[in-house]
Amino acid sequence: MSIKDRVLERLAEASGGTIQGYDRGPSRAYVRIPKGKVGDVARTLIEFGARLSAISVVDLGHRGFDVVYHHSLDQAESPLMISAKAQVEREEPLIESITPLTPQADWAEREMAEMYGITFRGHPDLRHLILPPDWSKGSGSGAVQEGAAVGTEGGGEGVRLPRDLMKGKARIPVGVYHPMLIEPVYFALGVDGERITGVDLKPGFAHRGIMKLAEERSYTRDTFLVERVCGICSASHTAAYCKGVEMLGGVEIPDRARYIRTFMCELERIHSHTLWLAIAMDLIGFDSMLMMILRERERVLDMREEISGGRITTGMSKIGGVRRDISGDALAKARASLSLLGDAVASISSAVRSDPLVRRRLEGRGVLAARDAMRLGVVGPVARGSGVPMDVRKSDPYDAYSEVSFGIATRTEGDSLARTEVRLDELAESLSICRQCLDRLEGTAGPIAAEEVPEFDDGAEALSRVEAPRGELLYYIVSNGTNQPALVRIRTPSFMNNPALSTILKGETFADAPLVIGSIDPCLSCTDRIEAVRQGIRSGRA
Amino acid sequence: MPSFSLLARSLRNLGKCATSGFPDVREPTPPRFRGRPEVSEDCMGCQACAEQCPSGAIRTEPRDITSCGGADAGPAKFGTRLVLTVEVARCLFCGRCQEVCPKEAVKLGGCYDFSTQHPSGFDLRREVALAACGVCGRPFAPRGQLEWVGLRVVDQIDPSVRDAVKADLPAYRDLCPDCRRTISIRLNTHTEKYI
Repeated sequence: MSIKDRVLERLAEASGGTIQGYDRGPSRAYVRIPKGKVGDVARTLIEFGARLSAISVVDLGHRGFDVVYHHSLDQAESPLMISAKAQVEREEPLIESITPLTPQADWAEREMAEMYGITFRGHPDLRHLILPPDWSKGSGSGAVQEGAAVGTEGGGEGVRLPRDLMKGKARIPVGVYHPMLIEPVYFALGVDGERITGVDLKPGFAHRGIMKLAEERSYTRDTFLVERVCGICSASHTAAYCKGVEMLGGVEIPDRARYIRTFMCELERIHSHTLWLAIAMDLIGFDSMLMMILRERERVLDMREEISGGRITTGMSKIGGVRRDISGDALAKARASLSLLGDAVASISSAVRSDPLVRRRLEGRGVLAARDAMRLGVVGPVARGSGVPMDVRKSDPYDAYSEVSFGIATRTEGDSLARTEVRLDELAESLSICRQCLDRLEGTAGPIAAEEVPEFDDGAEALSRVEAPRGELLYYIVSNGTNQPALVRIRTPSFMNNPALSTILKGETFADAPLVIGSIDPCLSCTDRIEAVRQGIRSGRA
Repeated sequence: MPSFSLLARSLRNLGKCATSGFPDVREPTPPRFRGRPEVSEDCMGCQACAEQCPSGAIRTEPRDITSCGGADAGPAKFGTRLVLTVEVARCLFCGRCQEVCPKEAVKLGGCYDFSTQHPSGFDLRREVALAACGVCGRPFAPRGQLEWVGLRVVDQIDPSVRDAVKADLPAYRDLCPDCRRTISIRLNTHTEKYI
């Protein structure tokens, strides 16, 4: 009996035998559950070690809404994602909150509450996440339950809400615009003397309505839109989106396209990690290192420009394959640049690792224990730095990752230094993957894009994910049978990592806060997307 | 000690300049570079780019339009030219227009320096002539596009009916869709003829 059958069987038991399951492919299962049973279903899945990846809401018009819980079983022997759907009425969209069971649902429920007007009954902290805090309309206008702990399921004392952690303490506001922050976000740091007791985050200042815009454009035009969700992860976003659309239509992309996509995604990881490292050095005050790293990073950007014509927005992935080929002269040039980059990365890496000052600023700071990492559902280098070997490239391989050989860098310490070392190790792995992709490109002939992409059925859905530089990036695409998607749900990795800051920063001194915040590599403009709401009017234009 | 090697490296670079001398020196761009869009004379006004532009930066509108102005104003005047505008400020430089252009008339060139003192000249404009209907005189489609479609039809149609189509084409190609329908019996261009 496969893990999937076992999970589905248990789910049927938990929800009173009313699961109507249907699936698409071996690694995905979509099940419909009664809305009164979401708690039981979540509890069952948590017992299996599932992580709540995201909550999506599908607007079904007069039929109401589907609230979809995407659970991922990362440690299963075969990749498995279970999406449990519960339908709620349009007039009174009410559903039981699962935040008391798992803190992973906290932000996801708050976001869906304010964007779709779903009421999550029992959520202990329904303040606005994206909308202004004083926004009075709709649900989520401020019901706060004092002293609640979330995630008590499975023993332990759970995670305390930031509001309670800060109660009776002095508050230091940081942001929205502040020299220590690169992006617009508001932090309220609760301090007891020099020590931080809790952090309350308020994102939403760079909200551009991308998910709503995506519903109004054709699938092809959306490729360029999702590429601009993030200023760094353009290749990851398009790869995840295109993969999702390809899953909708059952399209297999040619081998060359898979290698090129993998190459671009890994190039992006190098670009992202070097940029992060440079900024971390800047936060430490090691500015000559910042400049040295940025100079080497320039090679990656030049390579991207040479291959695709753009330094940041490469526009390489398209539905069914890639736009531009890497062959002949360009391939030789890329190989030469990679070799120079390899030397540079090695020397930077050893300089950063052995610098006593850098070590002292990072070691033991901002510790996230493995247990907390699992409980909070953090992803990417933050999870791997805490000893959780979670990597979509291994657990749910896409593109060419099942063919290339690479290791998952992990550390068990869970401090800022561990996260830094994970990223340094990943730089070397990424370089190796890039080289392997170029080798394979040289030995493979054929087209770079599928001939034809079929039309999608009404109600077809696809859940795709990639390992972006910051962790698991998830796309959930629903078709309505037209040339425009009914829903493009984007769950960026930082959306899972940012809420963990409260746990990570607890007990640190205020002076260490910038570097510790930086150590999780938060991408706040990615986290803010979804839809723009202006006085009740859904805005179509960003 | 790595710290010393860094120091040595810093000393080596002392006094050297790493930045280029822009704007006096303009670094060459790679061949695939996607800079400011350029539209060549080959543009026939088919509007495929405007249809596909992800950010809606390409706009087309007929020019020289006057409304009919009521019964006393005489015969209505219509647009005789189609104006294609690329709003460069909205452009994403994604290259989708280049990809869909059937005439390869649009290209993202090597220009990356957009600073200007004349904002009016910032956007890109092209005008193409609209063909007037042979019967009612109403301009209805870009002339170049009609010619291109005509050539393509003859080129790609089943060889067994190619001569018949080629013979009939000049009679109906330059008619607007409305007039074409009303006089199709006279022209004898019913589909049955070609099957």
